[in-house]
Amino acid sequence: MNIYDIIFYLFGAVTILSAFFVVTSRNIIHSAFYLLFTFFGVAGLYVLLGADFVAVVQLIVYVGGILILLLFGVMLTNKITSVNIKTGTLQIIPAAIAVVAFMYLLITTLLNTGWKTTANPVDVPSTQSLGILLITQYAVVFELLGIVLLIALIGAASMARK
Amino acid sequence: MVLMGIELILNSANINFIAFARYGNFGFQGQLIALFVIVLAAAEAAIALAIVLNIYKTFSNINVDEIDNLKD
Repeated sequence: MNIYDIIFYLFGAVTILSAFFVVTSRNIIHSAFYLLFTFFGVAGLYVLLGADFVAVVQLIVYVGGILILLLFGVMLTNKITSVNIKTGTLQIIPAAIAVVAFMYLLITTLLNTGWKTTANPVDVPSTQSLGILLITQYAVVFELLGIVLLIALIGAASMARK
Repeated sequence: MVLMGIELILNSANINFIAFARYGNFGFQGQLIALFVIVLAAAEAAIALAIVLNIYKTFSNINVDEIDNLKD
């Protein structure tokens, strides 16, 4: 068990524990702050998986954007005295069926994938390759995604202003 | 609350994509799809928060269990 394994289990434990607290916490502001730790843990996992650019994007977009937006929404719509929300569990049986089916799918996929057999794949910096792919092979997807984001932001602004 | 759940699910899907991209034989496409998912999550969060603000303005309440009419 080398140092990378220890760091991996550390980040995994942080991610799973804080994700558990996100869904079980009774105070919605506490949930939002536990979500912060989840995002940091996921970013650490990305770095360990050799996806450095995605990790930085995760930190910038999720922690800097989405989490701030969520906190903004929570604090704007909730009176601080009445932050107690109910986190009951509804519809356990359909959820259990869906989760078991999805786990079966995931496990069969895991068993049928041809994994790389080398113990430690080499880490190459991913930013340049991702950029080249984005403007050559996936240029149309990239442009479409830009248009979707623009329309979504315009729609959000006009809906919130009304 | 529902929004946070959605973000968690999208994050877990992203971890899967990147893990398969690292240890499978798929090249960089998994990381690319993870980036696309992050962009879509940002768009979804912006729209959903606008909707939540409007709901709060209309009902003075954001508990999804108690909002049950489309029009007042």
